[in-house]
Parts: sequence; C-alpha cells; structure tokens
Amino acid sequence: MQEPNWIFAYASVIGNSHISENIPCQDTCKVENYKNYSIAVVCDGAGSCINSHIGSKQVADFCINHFKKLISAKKWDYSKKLPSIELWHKSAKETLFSIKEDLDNFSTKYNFDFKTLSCTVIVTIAFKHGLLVTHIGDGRAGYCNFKDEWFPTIIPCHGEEANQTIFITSDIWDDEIIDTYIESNVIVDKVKAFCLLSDGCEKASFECNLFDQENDKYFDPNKPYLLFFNPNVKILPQLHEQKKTQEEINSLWGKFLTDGNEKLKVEPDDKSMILGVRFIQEPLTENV
Amino acid sequence: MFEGESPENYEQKCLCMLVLDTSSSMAGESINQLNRGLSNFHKEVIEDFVASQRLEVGIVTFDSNVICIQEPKLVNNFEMPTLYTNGSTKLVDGVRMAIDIVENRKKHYKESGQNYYRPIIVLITDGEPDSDQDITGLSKEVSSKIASKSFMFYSIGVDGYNHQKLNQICSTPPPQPLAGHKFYEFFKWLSNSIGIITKSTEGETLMLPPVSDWTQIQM
Repeated sequence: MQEPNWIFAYASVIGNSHISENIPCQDTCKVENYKNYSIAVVCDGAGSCINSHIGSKQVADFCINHFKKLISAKKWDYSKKLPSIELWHKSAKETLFSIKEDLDNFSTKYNFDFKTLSCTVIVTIAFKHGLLVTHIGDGRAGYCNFKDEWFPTIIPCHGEEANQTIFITSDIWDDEIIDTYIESNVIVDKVKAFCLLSDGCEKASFECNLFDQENDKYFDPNKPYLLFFNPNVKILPQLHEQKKTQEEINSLWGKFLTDGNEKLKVEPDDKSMILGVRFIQEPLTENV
Repeated sequence: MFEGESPENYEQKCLCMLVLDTSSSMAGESINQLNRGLSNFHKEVIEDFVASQRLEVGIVTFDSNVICIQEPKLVNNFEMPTLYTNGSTKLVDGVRMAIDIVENRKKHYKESGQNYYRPIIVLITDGEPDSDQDITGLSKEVSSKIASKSFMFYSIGVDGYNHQKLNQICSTPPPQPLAGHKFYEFFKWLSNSIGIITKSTEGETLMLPPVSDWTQIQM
C-alpha cells in the first residue's frame, strides 16, 4: 500500500461556553487522502444559528466531494504544476457556489431554514508541489516551508464588531461582490507543514492581536506562531512512525486542543484545527 | 503527546456603560442594595477569566448633576465606587453622557485597531426625569442608535419608577421592573449575560439567561 504524501492530526472540540449553555459543537473538520493529494476542510458553524452544527457537517462533506471532482476533472492530480491563481480562484468560486446550492437543496429536503445552517469554510488541497487554498469567513490557515518559515495562506474576514463575519449562506453570491468574500491562493513552495483552523483556535496558535508600542496601536500580524506549531510538526511524524492509528492521533490532538495549554484551556468557543505534515520517508530533493 | 506555547494576544473589548440614578429617592435600602449589587458584579466578572480580559465597565451617575464616576476600564483596573444619593433626576443628561462615552470609546477602539463587541448601556432608575429633560429627543436618539446597531440598551425600573416615561425612552426591549431590591440578582444576571455576549460568535441572536430571578414580569 502506498504511503500518503501527507500525515494529519485533526479534531474539533467543544468550547467551554457551549458546554455551559448545552449547545453542541458547531465545528467540523474533515481530511481525505487520495493518490497524489489530500483535501482538508474546516467549517465553523455560526454561534447564533440553531442548526449550524448540521450545516458545518454538510458543507465539509460537500467540499470533499466537489473538490475531489474538480481535481479529477482538471487533472491537477497528475499535473506537474499547480494551476494559476486566476484559474484556481475561478474554479474554487464555482465549486463553493455548487456547495452552497447543495446546502440549499439539503435545507429544502429536510425542512431546515437555510440561514440556520450558516457556517464558515476553509479548504486546503495539498499536493507534493504546493497548496491550493480557498475560504469564506473568519478562519485562519498557514504553512511552513523547509526553511522552517511560517506564513499565512488566507486573511480572515471580520465585520465591524468582533463577533461578526460572513458565511457560505450569506448574501454574497453576486458577481459584483463575490470576490470581496471568497479568497483563494496558490502556494508554490516546498511545503513542510500546513494548518487550518476555526477562530476558536486563533488566539492560541496565531499572532493575531498584538500591541505595537511604537505606533500605540493594536494590529493583526496573522502569523502562525512558531512555538505552537513547530513542536507538533516534529511530534506528528513520530506518532506516525510509532504506528498510531489516525483515530489515536486525532484523539491525542483533540485532548491537546481541549486543554494543552492555558490559552486553549480557557477558550470559550469551539476549536477545530487540522495540522498536515509532509511525509518524508523518501529523501526530499530540490526538485520536489 | 502534542505540546505548544501560545502567543500573548490581547482580547477584543466589550464595553458596558452603567447609567445609575443617585437622586434622593434612591436613598436608604435602594442605594445600599445597588452598591452591594455593583460590588458583587465586579467580583463575579473578575472571577470569569475571559470576561475579565474583555469587559470594560464605565459608570455615569445622575441626580442634580451628571458625573462620569468611572471611565471605561477593564474590571481588574479599578475598584467599584460606592454611590451616595443627592438631589433630583437628570436622567436624560445621564443617558446622553453615556451615549457620548460609548461613541468616543468605539472611535478609540477603531483608531487603536482593537476589535470590539457591540457596547451595552444599562439604565437604572427609580423615578422619572426632571420636567425640563428632553425625553422625546432622547427617545429618537436611542431608537436610531439601536437600529443602527451602535449599542444595546436595557432599562431597569426600581420600585416607584415611571414605566410610561421609561418605555418612551426605549420600548424595545421594554423596561424591566426590578422586584423589590434585587440588585444583587440583577447584576448576577448581567455578569452572566456579559459572559455570553463576550463569548458569542455572532451578535445577532443571543440566548441570554432568564430574568425571572430579579424582575416582576417575564419578558
């Protein structure tokens, strides 16, 4: 059996405020490995929407199916290079629109108010030669190259108030405004690891609200935090080599996201994070 | 086992402006219980780690004078003041001062790059405004600012308050009469509600705790 190109730890854990208010975990994360690529999805259900836990699960499932079809149709899984940013963004937009339509059909079939299924979505598709990323909402994502430099791959979308964002169900599907709300990026780099996460994990894992003393201003560097990610980029392959199953790895990851450090422990919101690490049993060459 | 350190990010802010009646009619049990409620509110917010990092409290008192006795600050950064009663009821001027403070604070948040939740103004009174106070003008201003999502507004009537006039200032949500002197229970509800607001992921529909512990009628 062929080893996957990427190994993963992924989990969604319920937030403290959802436990105390008896609300289900509204996040979903999902990973599928295919022959030459992997698809990773994180969806964060809107806190105020009663069925958003169902919406986030549906959207994650739809993403896996639709983006798999897209890659097969475009033959990107056998291509030696990634598509251009223009082509990827257009394709991602059309695919996310189809997913929105599927969710609408699902809401009609099962008699849910469409807006009660609201959720954000981040999709990262990992190939040997780079990443395709697209998203709607306030999640964060990033990657690390083989020089151990971390970079963000998307910019979260925030409203004027702290708890506002947009969702796949929002009224954004107009040609004139849609590009404001869907961001897509192509990462052509030697990617060693990547992450995608719901906003419940951002304060623990990203530099996202720091104070600039010189300019007397708060700012959002949107930067994956090395001391958070680097230890785990080392640990994940070790667990894989110890022949831990995916379920065992995810269980350890879920425990870490629940109370692995003080920030994670006190976070009131649901937390979802996928960490993907390049599987490097074979020697990595400059041509990879 | 997985492990990792977190960066020192600052928390987003939530401003709660308390607009409190300190006119002579509040003397005695009312002011004593209000002070007890405020003190407990301060203690409960400090004990909620996340709320204590996010909630800024400001206090305006109104009697014959209108004074901001506490500029907006995180609860860890000030001692809750003790209130004393005196004079008449410049309620409209008190609410207007609170609105100005909210607008200035939002401007400060924006200019300094801080994320913030929609501010909350809480008015507590046992009477009615002095006869020269512009209730109609304030009512228009409050309605317009609530509609434009500038802030949320809650009014609480203490025994003997004029429901009609308070309702004229803000009818949605309607004023809530405080049962007896249940300030302690009201502020417990407020700290729980703020706990929910500061942990919400979208501010449109908030499931706040029931008000039955401190009000005479259910909302």
